[in-house]
Amino acid sequence: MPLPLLIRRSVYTFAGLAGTFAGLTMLFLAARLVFAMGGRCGTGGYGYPPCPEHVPELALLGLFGGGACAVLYAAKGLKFGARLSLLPVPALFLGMAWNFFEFGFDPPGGGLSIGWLICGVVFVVMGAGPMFQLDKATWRETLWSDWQPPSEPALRPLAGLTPIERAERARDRVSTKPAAGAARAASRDPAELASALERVSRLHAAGELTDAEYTVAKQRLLGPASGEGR
Amino acid sequence: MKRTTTGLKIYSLVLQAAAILCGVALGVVVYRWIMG
Repeated sequence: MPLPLLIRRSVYTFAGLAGTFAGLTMLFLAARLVFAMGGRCGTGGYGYPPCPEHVPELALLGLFGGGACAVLYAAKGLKFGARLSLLPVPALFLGMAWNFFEFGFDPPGGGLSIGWLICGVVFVVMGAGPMFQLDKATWRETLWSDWQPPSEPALRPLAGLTPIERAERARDRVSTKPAAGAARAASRDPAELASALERVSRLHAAGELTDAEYTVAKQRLLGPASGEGR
Repeated sequence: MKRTTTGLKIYSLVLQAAAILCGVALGVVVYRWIMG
């Protein structure tokens, strides 16, 4: 992998993952503030106590900022090694489950909050449940990538080739290039023959075909008869 | 080549572990900053 690409993807990986977990941490801490005041807050005259100052901003920043960073990580991060795109989901649910259990056993009003403990169990099931459904192979595919960057480019530009390499490449490409298909089609219809010739000429003029490839393609299009007539 | 590939995999693990730790620390810092 080219060094600039490695550096760029490393930056995206670090920024994406760090931003994701910063968002999760903010959500976790904002939720604790709400738990500490009884588990609900709001405005609008519904009888809820007002939320602690800046909690809505904190929660929104954590949710959408963390989500955007998770997308950045998944889309632009390193493609090999550990892939943790799915980790934020159980981390979010299990973090909330922690809060439910902690405040369920020791709620602001004292005693025991059975409702929060039940919610804690539900969040554990949502966060950890899917993990137990995966077998070893799926775990590995989900969390690890064996992708390897190609060691060298599949195609090299014509300009960088020696004449011998050009000839070898032309020989290798003759059987697979589109002109072969065009030749077969053109043999059935004169209009298609003209179109295919024009296409080949255009490719040659654009530098997509070497002189050798152009000659071979033209001969194929015109068939053996073209050689006999000259 | 093999050593390079192994090195890259270890590198990705270390990088991502560091990113998670830094992210949690950043979240705490932002939380304290916003809450004053």
